[in-house]
Amino acid sequence: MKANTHLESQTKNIWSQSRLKIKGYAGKYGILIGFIAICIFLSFASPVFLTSANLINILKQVSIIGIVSMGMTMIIISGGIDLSVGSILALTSVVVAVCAQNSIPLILCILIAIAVGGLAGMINGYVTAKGAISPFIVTLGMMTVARGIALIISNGMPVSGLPETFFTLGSTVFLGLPLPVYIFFLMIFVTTILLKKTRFGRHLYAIGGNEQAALVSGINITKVKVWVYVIGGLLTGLAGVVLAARVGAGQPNAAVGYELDAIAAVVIGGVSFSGGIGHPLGALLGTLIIGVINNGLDLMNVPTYYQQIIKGLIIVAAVLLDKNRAK
Amino acid sequence: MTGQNILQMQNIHKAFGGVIALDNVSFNVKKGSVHALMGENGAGKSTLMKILLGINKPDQGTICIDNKEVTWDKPSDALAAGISMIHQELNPVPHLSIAENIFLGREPINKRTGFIDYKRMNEETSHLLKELDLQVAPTELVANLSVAKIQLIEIAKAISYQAQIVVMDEPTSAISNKEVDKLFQIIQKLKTNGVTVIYISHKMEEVFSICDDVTVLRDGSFIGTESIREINMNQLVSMMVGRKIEDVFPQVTHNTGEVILKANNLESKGLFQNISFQLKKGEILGFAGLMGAGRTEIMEAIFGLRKLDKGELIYKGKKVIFKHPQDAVKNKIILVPEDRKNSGLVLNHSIRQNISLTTIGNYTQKGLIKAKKERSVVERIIEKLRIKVSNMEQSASSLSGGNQQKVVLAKCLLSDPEIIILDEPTRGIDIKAKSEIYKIINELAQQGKGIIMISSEMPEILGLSDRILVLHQGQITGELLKKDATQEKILQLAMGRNVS
Amino acid sequence: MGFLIKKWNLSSLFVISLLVLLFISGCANQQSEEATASNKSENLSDSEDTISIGVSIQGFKGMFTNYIRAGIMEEAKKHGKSVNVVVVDAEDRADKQIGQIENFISQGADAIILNPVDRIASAPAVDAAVKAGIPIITVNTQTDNQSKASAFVGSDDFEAGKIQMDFIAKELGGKGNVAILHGAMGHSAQIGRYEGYKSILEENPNMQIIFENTAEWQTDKALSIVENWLVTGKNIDAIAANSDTMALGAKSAIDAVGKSNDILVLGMDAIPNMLKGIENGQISGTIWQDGIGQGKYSLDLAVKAAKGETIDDYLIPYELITKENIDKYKKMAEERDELSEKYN
Repeated sequence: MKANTHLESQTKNIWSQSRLKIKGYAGKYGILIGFIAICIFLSFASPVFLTSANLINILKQVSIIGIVSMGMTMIIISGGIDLSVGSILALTSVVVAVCAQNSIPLILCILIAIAVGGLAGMINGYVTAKGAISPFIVTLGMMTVARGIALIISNGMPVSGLPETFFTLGSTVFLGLPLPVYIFFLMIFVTTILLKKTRFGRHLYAIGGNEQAALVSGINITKVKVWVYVIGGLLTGLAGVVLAARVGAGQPNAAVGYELDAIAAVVIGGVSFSGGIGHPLGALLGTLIIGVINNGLDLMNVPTYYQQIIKGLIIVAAVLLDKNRAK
Repeated sequence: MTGQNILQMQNIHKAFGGVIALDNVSFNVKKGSVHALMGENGAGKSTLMKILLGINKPDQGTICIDNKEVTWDKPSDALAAGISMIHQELNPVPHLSIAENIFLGREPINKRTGFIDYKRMNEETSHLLKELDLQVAPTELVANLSVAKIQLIEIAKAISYQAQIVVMDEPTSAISNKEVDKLFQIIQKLKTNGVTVIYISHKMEEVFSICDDVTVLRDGSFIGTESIREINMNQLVSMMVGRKIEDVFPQVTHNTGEVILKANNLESKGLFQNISFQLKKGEILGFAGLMGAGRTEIMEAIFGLRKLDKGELIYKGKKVIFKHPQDAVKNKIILVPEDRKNSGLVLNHSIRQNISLTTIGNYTQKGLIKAKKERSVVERIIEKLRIKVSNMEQSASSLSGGNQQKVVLAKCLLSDPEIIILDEPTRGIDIKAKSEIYKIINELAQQGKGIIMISSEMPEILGLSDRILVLHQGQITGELLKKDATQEKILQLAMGRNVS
Repeated sequence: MGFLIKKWNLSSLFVISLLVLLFISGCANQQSEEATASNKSENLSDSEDTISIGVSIQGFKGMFTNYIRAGIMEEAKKHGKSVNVVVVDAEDRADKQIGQIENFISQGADAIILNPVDRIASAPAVDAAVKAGIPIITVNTQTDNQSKASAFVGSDDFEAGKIQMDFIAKELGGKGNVAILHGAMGHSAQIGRYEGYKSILEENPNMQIIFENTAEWQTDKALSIVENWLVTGKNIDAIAANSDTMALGAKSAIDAVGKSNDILVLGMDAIPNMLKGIENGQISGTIWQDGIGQGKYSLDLAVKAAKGETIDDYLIPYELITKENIDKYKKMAEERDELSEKYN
């Protein structure tokens, strides 16, 4: 009898362990399978899809939203949300352009723009954490405020006439890839290290997973929350610089609706909306899925109205595939 | 009226993917009786009840109701046959009224208009409430009710299904003693109306005061069914754990040292006042009292979760104020909260992440976490506290209550605290796990930590504490040394009466 | 909880900063008031000797609406104290715009200028003014019930599309592949211009649309879309964009693959960067839409209508800008942007 139960408990362990493993793999790779499926379909549907020129295009095109979605990943993991990224993106693109126009050294322009992003993030974080107001409302407010400031400093006009050096930022190619792609990759790396390898990252997950437990465990919640919005703002500021360099102007009306693209990318990538769960590489996959769909629809010249429907359906289908495999 | 079996579950066998959950279990319940179902967590109680309610299907065995064999295809079949269950974790819809909750999913429809017939619904509900002597309006929102009232609403709901058999899973885990009395009255009333109650509980006193019979399961096997009158507490415990009760509370003496924490006249308006006490190194200081006496609130105020209006705290000879929990933790004072799931653990995170949460900064080098170091530390504490896990990457939610509590303890202990505040450290966990946690608490005291323990379980507070403070309505009504303390004295003080 | 007091501090901080902000914007307001005589007062003063005119602009964010606004202000300045103009921002919301018109009516405006947010949804504003017997002039965009309004000042988007595509047809000799960058789908300008394109394409059966998509007026979206088109390797002879912002994005994508000399790029609006490109020969052309003129004429008509004179629609023709006539338009654009900056 006793030996019997021992054996039983052992089989129970092995069983539950392997089940755990399968679940882990599927959870991690389900969305990857979805991504590959979309790519396989597109490589049949368009002969140019798999050409290196096109793949580089895709990376180039997703780098801006990708950098933003890294910040969004951290914010959503902490249980928050940031609706102001689109506006901050426009604001910082205007700031960097205005600075460059006034012949401030390029590197300083970039730093100022990134700092403006960080400042906006700090306000978001401070009001959210200290005022105990829902980040949805706080960042919604910031969304309008930042857009308004962008319009004021640009007089509602695109800021152009930038120095040539500025364009090199967007167009320099190194080992076949343009600079913005490297910046994007670097930010993925930085985000992964921050989330997975630092105390800050661990605290972020804990706050998103169970704020009360994190509080009782002695974590300084206010500090962590303020910082995550600051980092999100800095990344958005950086993305604003890349945007300005890419289009060669600072535009107060740019990036409308980017917050939704970034949120969609992050959630497709398996980051839980309720916080506490997620990986930046998942968000990368989410970003790539959106980028690949946009690219593929253009390659196939799908009529404009249908594009919107197809995009929405593919996004939901990709997540559905992920969920089913994770079960 | 009692005598005839209303329920006979015979030779029930159930396995989940090769793991045997129930092995040849028989469970017979007499009509109109209150039948306790006991056993440690994982003994198979809930699987047995899930089979009774049609949530799981047995692999083998038969269920007879009133001597007629039945099979359930779906849970609603069992409900229709008059079997309903009140779950341990209540899940009402808070912003609906009592009536709406009771009739959720089967709202009476006015045939003429096609709308919900609120008049009928409220009338029937008020009839049900009257039956349970509940003085609330059927239109009251559930959000405005106490946990105990919600429990009674759930009972009303169960009765409204014309239930013959009502299963209650740990119904007193979240309600005060006074409300327990009320619950017992209702159970008596149900009994006289011929309703049979299956009562799942870990609490001995309750089982002995309300139940007629008891069935014990252990490790998925049937151990025995006894009449309550023919069995005593010790016998029952040894049936459950397979060993004697003396082992549960090891008799240890603690060598107490200097005073480490001194509280002077702590006050928080409306919650507690004039709270003064001292805690010595190596001492276990028990806080007893009824629910709502202010014990948890005092600890929260000390820990920085709540604002103090008055009073001072002297820690290691220095006056301190903790504005936030992080200040307390920095000073090596930790709190193991009452509510494991909501304040103790990040449930969907791994055991490793939970255990290393507070101390993650200790395993970093140049700001980066050294995974190897973290794992080895976690592994050691898992071993030391005998936490049963197959893998430290398992999510905390997959553990039993006892092991979850050990994970919370492990997290706290890694920060090398000098004072540990335990709030109901063994709530809802089985006897075996309890005794292991008691052992850990004793060891901590022996290492010279100061321990404050809030507990509503008498045996626990009597068995562990060196000194006991009793509270009543936010005030300390008495202090008892271990050798003088008895259950009666504590109860007297807890109810605000003087003990001579 | 413990942070209650801090929360209060935070909210007081918030209130104080709000007050400071209000003060600053109040000062900014005052400045512009000084510059524009009697503009921008909160209410229309309904005295006998001044004419009150209410203006609702679809949105202050748009660049083009800023030109219209500047035109109105500039024209108002000519009249000095005898005309009182109030300009409000409908924030791209038709419901808000209708409310604004109703307010003008109740304040006793002598005439109203409406820059509709939406062709259909803004129509009730015209009805309201007509019912109250107040002349209403639509500017830039027509409403569904345009026939009820006193007059329309603006340019015909259909015409703009025709001019742009006609230029392309002539340059390509009547045959080739054209790609189209639409503005926001469903926008009246997008619809009108597309119709204009199609009318020219019908006349030239050897020209076809090879790609089309919406970049929603945005440069970076246009850039990505054109990158994607170019990578397919299909031959594109010309890109017709609904706006200069999108044309500039298209141009960047084309330059990046070294096809600058192979593809014609045309935009609309004549923004400074675009004009510079035309001057350098990098961009084929754009379309001049006279926003300042639209503003000026609409106020002129409004004043006339308020005095009881009969007025008529006034259509300002679109003009094509290419390398040949760039000098003239560059100067006009400078004046335009100066004015726009002055009033915004």
